Amino acid sequence: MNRSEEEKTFKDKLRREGVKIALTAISLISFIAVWWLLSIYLNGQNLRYLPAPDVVFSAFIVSLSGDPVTGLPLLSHILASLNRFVWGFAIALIVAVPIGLLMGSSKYARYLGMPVTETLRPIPPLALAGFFFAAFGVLYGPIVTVLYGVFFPVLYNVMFGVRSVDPILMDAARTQGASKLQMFTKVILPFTIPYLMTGISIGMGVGWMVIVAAEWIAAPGGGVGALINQCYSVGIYDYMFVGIIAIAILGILTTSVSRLLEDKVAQRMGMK
Amino acid sequence: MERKYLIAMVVVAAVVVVAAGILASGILTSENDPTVIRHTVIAPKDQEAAIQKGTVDGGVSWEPYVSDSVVAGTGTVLLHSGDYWPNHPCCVIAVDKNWAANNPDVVKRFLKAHVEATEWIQESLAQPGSENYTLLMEIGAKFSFRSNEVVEEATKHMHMDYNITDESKAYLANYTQAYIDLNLIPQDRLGDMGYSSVGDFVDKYVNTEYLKDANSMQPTDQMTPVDVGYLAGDLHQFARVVAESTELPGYGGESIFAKYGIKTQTPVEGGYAVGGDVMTAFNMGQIKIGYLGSPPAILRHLNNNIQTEIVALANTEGSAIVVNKDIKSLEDLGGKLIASPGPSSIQYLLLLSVAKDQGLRVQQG
Repeated sequence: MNRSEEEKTFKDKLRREGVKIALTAISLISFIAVWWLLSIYLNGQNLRYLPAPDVVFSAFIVSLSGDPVTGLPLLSHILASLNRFVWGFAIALIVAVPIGLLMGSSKYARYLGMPVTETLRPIPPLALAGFFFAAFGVLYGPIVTVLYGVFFPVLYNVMFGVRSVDPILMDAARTQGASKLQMFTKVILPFTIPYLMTGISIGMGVGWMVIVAAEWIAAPGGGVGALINQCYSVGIYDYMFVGIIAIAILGILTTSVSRLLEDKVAQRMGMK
Repeated sequence: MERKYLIAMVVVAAVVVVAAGILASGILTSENDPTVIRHTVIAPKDQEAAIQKGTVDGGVSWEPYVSDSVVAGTGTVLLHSGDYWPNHPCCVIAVDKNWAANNPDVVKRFLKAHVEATEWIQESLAQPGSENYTLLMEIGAKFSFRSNEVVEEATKHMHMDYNITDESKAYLANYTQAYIDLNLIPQDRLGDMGYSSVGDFVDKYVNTEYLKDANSMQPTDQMTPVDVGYLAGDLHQFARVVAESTELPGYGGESIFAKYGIKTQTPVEGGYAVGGDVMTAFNMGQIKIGYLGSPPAILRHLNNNIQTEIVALANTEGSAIVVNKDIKSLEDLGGKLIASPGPSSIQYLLLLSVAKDQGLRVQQG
């Protein structure tokens, strides 16, 4: 590649990036503009349920040191939700991964496990939230609800991963004298990791949806879902939107992290 | 290389657990500042279980949930709201303001039925052991999914009343002022809505004209459908339940509402969960008449410009602070975790007021 060609590709790349950034900016700015106009229009009609972005921003600033409804700083709500999320998520992983590996590798385990998991899997976690709160109390109820939501995507992806192991790989390992344990640790497990990452990715999305709704029921110590619900009940929607935006940002952050991990793992495993 | 993955997985799991532990330590451990009542939101129906499990030390709720704990022996009443705020208004009947102005006779007929049902309850309660008394307990038990015993206990501490007196209005003004002081109603909102003061707001928001004329309403065969909202299982709204009943003797198998030509229908069978939802239903045009707590009726009208007005009371008193056996006095509330149905409830205002008297602060915890 000569110098002028190099410059050309560089310029092309720059232009592509520029276009991408410009379109992203246009998208976000129009979103905020539409929101703003809509809120001006609705407020003009005396319909006060969509606060303007600047009003939400002021509420956000106040929320940092404590919103009027709960008195807790926004960060406390975020940490409380994150805490429930992380616990539910961690326990789901610890339980679902071994079961998934087992059900993937042994057909007897599958015959034993599938009827139960297939019965439970279609039940939305929120349908069971009331039961979880009653059985585990308001402290652990939300955690168990998240656990339930994350459990099945992880379980099924791990199981699917194990079952998708290329038989040629298995044969190759076997002919080279690999023991059952070696087959498991050196062939099956590494092969399953990208699938596990997909399960985690899906589980993250489900987890956030579940935690907000679960916190509507009860959330000792606060929580973004509790903030949203209490602001709704009082009718101060500017603060309710602060909670909604906080959840959006948390969701974007966690799914980006998991997607990044998923990509890295996939690259490392030679899948991309 | 495969071992690396195993190690990596163990490390990731360990990090996650440790991170969760660190996060949890900051949040799940309770600080027991004796000058602070920690407050959390739990629906009244779930408070008994939370007290029993020890998740909270007590809760403020309405009937039948107060009596539910008392009868089951899972909690004791520390303070009845009636002993603290005698005759305080609790649940009210609100109407869609414009609809009511266009259908005054329907509102009056509805209120006539409400008044008759309330008086039937008052008379029945005055004769314990009578047939009507037993019937009243059965109607309440069926509606609230509680035993007759729980309903009987509940009726001892709440009063069915429809009249809005000057005393009731003074209480409503106090509730409003409390919310303004808490910043839950912005300072300038009253002015924005065209009210010159809290007193002026209450005078205008409470409209007793319909109730005054209700007495002159006569039974009619002409039925008018009315969309009505109410709270699920809430015995404060007993009059509505009784007015709906077709079992009352002397009514020939029809309900009191039917007697006055009101055919009630509701968009949410079984009732709404909280008063805020009833106000949202008004805002969406789903209901024209609603039974709900006075605080959400005030809050949501002012904060969200929902055009309603209060036309009658449903009950007075009937809330209580229920606690576990360790709490013996109001001072003991310091450092404890107490639940309420949420900031838009009279129970929350009660907790705040009691705390203030004891020199305690209320913080979400």
